[in-house]
Amino acid sequence: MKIKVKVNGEWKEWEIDPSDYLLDVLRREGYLSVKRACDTGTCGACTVLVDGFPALSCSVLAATMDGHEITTAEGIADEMEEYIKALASEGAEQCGFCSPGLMVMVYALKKEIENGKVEKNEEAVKRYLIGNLCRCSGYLGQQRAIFKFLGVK
Amino acid sequence: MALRILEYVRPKTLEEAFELLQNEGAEILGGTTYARLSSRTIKLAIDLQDVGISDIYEEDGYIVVGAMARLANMQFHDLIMNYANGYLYDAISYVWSVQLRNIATVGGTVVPKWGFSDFITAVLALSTEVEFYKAGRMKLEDFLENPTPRKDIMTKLLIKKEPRKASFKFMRNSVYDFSIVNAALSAKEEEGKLVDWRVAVGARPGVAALSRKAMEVLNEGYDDEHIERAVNAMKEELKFADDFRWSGEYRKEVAGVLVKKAIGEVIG
Repeated sequence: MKIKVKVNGEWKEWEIDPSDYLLDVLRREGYLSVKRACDTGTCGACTVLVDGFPALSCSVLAATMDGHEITTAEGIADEMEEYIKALASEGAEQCGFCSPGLMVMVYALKKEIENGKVEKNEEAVKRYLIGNLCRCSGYLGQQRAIFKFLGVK
Repeated sequence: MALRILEYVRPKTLEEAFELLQNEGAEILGGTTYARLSSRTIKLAIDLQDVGISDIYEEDGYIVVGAMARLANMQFHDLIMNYANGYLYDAISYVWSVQLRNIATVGGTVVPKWGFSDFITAVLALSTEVEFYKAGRMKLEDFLENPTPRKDIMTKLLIKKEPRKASFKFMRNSVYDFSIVNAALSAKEEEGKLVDWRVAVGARPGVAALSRKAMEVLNEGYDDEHIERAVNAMKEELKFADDFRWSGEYRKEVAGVLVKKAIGEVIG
């Protein structure tokens, strides 16, 4: 079957199998920031935005995405330059495998804070990001970088 | 291990979806989050995203939540955030992760009667009904206690908008995990009194159930003696079982503590 999806602002038409998950299709089409890690909806490494909201691409059937808008880390890299700098300056990168999924979540979190849906404090930020696991367990560096980027005191 | 789908359809109306569902091997897709973990073949997967059952609104004294509404849509909806002091907003915020709540649907959570569900326990503690396309409207507890309407489509979850005080509690190995046991309670505020108590306990590990005996005791009174009796009635009435994480006996004891704490929160 064919689906039409808007990926990072550009409409694409892809031939897929009805059993394909979004993660598999995105990686097959070259969006390699979208990582396969747990593949069970737990770790957040495969996070993308669907119509502006973060979702687990390993758990979304690609067929259901026909007509929807998807944003991957590649699509927000320019807007997130300050965040990337904060990651570097706080020594928050270890293997880097979880970084793209986390960056998508931090991007979504910033919008939610701006829209008044999530409070800008330590507890609210940690709770929002609970679904992003770092296999190097480098959470403290990430936390410093995220708080710096969001201006959490 | 993989889910195999032979054909995928996205009908435009409920009537069309219902007709398609009557085909052998046809199944409704919910949020597809748990389908990921299964290994089976669906001959015809029916996606309901275009049939118009995703909205959340108020009607005839009920908060109506479409079965295809995402848990996150529900959590952040003003009707939910402003109801019972944000009780459901808070309970839903503990369901797994933000990314999952943006995928998981209300119908996809309720219809399979997941035993581990916090959501079902939380809504069961309110005056809640469900509506199916053909089987019609029924109380949530009746739906949970009876066989699921076969080859039918859940269309709505309806929460009676009445002045209720409510509390949701859970025990987990860590915050980002499934509850090993959970409990939710509510009572209606009427002329300065708390009446029509509802006591729900879930992840026993079976699906959430009401403790009607505990409710009966609390409807008589909610002083210390009645609270003790209600907790004991719940422990005697509901079945708790072992699984690989906890024993049924331990679950029962913890459920007692959770119910007692929740009663205290409701009384204030």
